[in-house]
Amino acid sequence: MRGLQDVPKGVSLGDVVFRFTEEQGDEVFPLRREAKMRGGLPRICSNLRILAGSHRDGTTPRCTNRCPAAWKGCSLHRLSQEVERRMWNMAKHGGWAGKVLRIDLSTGRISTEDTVEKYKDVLGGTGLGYEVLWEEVAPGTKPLDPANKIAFGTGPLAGTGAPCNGRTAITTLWPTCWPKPLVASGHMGGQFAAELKYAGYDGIIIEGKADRPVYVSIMDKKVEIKDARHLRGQGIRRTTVELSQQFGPEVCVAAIGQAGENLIPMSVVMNAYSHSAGGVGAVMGSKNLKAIAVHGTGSVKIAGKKEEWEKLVKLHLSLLGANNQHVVPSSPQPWAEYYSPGSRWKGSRGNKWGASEPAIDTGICDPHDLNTIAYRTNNAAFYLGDIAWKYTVRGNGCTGCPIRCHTMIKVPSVAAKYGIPEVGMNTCGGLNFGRSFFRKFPDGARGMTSMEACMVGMHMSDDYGLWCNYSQLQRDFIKLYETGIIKNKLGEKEFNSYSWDKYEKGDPSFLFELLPRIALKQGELGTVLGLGTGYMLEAWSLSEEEWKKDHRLSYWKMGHPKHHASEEVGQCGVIINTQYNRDPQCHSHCNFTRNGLPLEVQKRLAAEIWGTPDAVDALGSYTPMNIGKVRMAKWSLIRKELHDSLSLCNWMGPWVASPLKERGYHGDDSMESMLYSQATGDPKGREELDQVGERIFLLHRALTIRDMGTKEMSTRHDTVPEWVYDDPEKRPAYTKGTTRLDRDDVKVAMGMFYEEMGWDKTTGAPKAETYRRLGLAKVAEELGKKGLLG
Amino acid sequence: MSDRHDISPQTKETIIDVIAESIRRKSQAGQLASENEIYQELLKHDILKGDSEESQHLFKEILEETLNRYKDLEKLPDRGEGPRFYSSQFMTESYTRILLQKETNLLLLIAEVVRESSAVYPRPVSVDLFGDSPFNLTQSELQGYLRQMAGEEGIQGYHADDNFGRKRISLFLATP
Repeated sequence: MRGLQDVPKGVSLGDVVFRFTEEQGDEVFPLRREAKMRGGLPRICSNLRILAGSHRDGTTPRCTNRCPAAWKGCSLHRLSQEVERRMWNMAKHGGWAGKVLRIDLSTGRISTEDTVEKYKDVLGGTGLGYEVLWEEVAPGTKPLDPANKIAFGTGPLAGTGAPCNGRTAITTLWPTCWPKPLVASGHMGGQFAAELKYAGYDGIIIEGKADRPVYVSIMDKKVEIKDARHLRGQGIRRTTVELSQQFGPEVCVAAIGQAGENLIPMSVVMNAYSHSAGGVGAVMGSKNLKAIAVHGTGSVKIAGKKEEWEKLVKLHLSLLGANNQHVVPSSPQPWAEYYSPGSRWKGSRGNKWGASEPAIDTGICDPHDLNTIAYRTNNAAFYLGDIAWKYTVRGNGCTGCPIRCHTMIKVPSVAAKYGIPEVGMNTCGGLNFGRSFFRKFPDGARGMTSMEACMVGMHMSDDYGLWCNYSQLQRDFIKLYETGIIKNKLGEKEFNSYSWDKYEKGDPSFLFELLPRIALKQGELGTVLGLGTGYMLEAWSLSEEEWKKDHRLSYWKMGHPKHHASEEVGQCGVIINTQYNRDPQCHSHCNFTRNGLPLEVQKRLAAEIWGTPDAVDALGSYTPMNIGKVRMAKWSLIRKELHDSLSLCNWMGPWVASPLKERGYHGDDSMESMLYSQATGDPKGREELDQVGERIFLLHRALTIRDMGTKEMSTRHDTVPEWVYDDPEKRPAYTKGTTRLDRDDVKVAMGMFYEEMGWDKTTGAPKAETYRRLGLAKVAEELGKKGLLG
Repeated sequence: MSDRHDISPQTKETIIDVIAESIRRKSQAGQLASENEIYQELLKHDILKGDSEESQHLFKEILEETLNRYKDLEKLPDRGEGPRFYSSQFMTESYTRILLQKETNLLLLIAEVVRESSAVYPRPVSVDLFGDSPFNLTQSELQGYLRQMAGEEGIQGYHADDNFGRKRISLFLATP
């Protein structure tokens, strides 16, 4: 139960006895609030506060001196001052570990700064990252410059018992953002966030560049920059093993592979075997930073009462569905009123983890049984079909997350056939990394060869540290091959060095020819594919417009693909996909519309959350834009930033729907604010915390505008690819069966969104009053000087 | 224990408990309970003996009383193979519909699932669905039914497409 809740020790707020001075050292205190404490502490001096209550001897403290003038002579006054300081320390440290590490690789200087003082207004995670980039990285800096910084940010819920709390946001200037690198974040799950918190840190800011390969070791308070020359050229797996052998099995290693070392933009940093953040490997590589090894023996303190916290965690657990917060099972279950074949809730009687010893039947997965939540999700079966059950060992995943979306599969045949480990695990793009390069397999899309391709791809990409860019890499490859571009662009010698016959046959061993060349920047094809889509198009003088027209490519803009756009959530999906400098990685919207509940139920819930049932449409039966869709888009973006800044997983939330019939399938829209308030002791309601989320999102917008040097966001940034307005069968927009949208209607949608956000309706640039309303007056001032306000 | 009507109140309560428990356990396991199965359970527990008319009569009497006492216990209409029972605490009405149709008309079951999916959610249906519990159809069985379906009255045809390896079917239904 590590990290769940520490019982308060030695502190009683109704008892002015100071027993906590030396025995606790710098240890973070839990804050136990007493009744009526929230509104502020009773004052006995004009400018100082002291606790109500009595001394142990029964006397009530009274300040008899004439404060504040004589305060130095007043022992009670000093006492009260100490109480307040301690109180504040306790309060500010609930949830947060308290310090952010700053590591300058150029000078070797390691320092810390106070998390709460400096970053509380942006929580942590992406908020911390945006703040660092805004304050410290000048416009025009390039991703691989020493002046660029990387912020590893966790949030106040990381390492607590809150479900799905394992996320670390890694923010930097994005190397695959095209044509000009801008701010973006990658997010990794695993155990890194919790370990960092247990070591006493909420984040790490990496700056400068080491003069040789190094890694950073963080063993509680002992932080060192160490020589990593012996790790140079090693994959992520070997690096992890080496450092784990050195520091012990509990250490968590976030490492880059050869791809990152070789400054391949399409590279990742990865921890805990399979949890990666795409796009940042090269930035680490540019700083000669091979890895960060972290282990902490501390804990994260919870401000709220233990019983209330545990009750809240239990409530949260009860609202969970499966991966993507799919709240109905994929097939009929005795207890289930509804089911949805598209659901990731694959557990069902007869569906067994066949490679587990003994095999485990996932059973009916009654949602009230909180001990079987992990049986619901099997992403290998979701993608590969029923064949995957036989090879499933179990689900794996992040700290505090019962969903276990990284399905572990054991395929003994691949060891002899391909010389790779027989066990592998990953999810989504990582799981499908190898398979997605192929157009066909000899035994079909969901046969054994397809599974072997998954195994080969997973092991190679997770060791080299290659990024798929939400499978855009694979889609690009197929397009380039099918259209003959690869053949035209490569010299005959290089083209013939690939076994294209293997590729045509769907032979996974083809990956052994392709993937190393991308990671090691070998040859024209390997080099170009490693650049990312935008720079690849530029390098080969190909038209981005062509990419934007092709439905199958799912390409959106700026070198990145769509991520749950119009094909899933109509105009709301479009708005969200226009906002970031990479694929938006936002699931708030699609996790609602694809949760598996009938449209009628979704509309009922939507009316309560966004004020109108019209916020949601049936898939492929879209209606024109309305205010509900705008509100849903705004809410989705805010929740995404909140999750990324609190360390909650946006892939699993938000939790506004649930699998519970007795709740009318309601979730709880206040889950994030309740967790935040209880963990930190900083009481914030839903709307207040949403404002913080909006502030974080706005800071991202400000950074984008500042670094682009233009306020013309609607035309220069928030663009929509042509395929959104097309239908392969030429069905008109807003007719049944098509997800095609209408150009004018999307224009209306963007205008409505800008207005709702307090941005200029024409340019899409936020107005000064919007910055001020959200506590970013200084940002407004700076942008104002540059003429970049809306 | 007894094959006579004059059983003790305690025995009667035991019978009620066994009946209720039997139905609930079956529901929890995703199965409907038949009269015979419940009766066999009582025999197994040695609470009722023999298969006399009197015992059967007593059983049916107490079964009715059990259903009246517990609101979660439901009786499904007899479709030729005797009434079935389930507990709404563990099984939904929609699930019972699937189980009953599975016993009587698989073709209709497939059509009804697709129709319901179109009407309620709405959504296309993955062919894979019918391989899962409680349908448990093999690919060849399913293909056979789909071919047969194409010729059924009220169903004009079907279309299966392949999206990343997941086949989805759409039924083209004749206008009623």
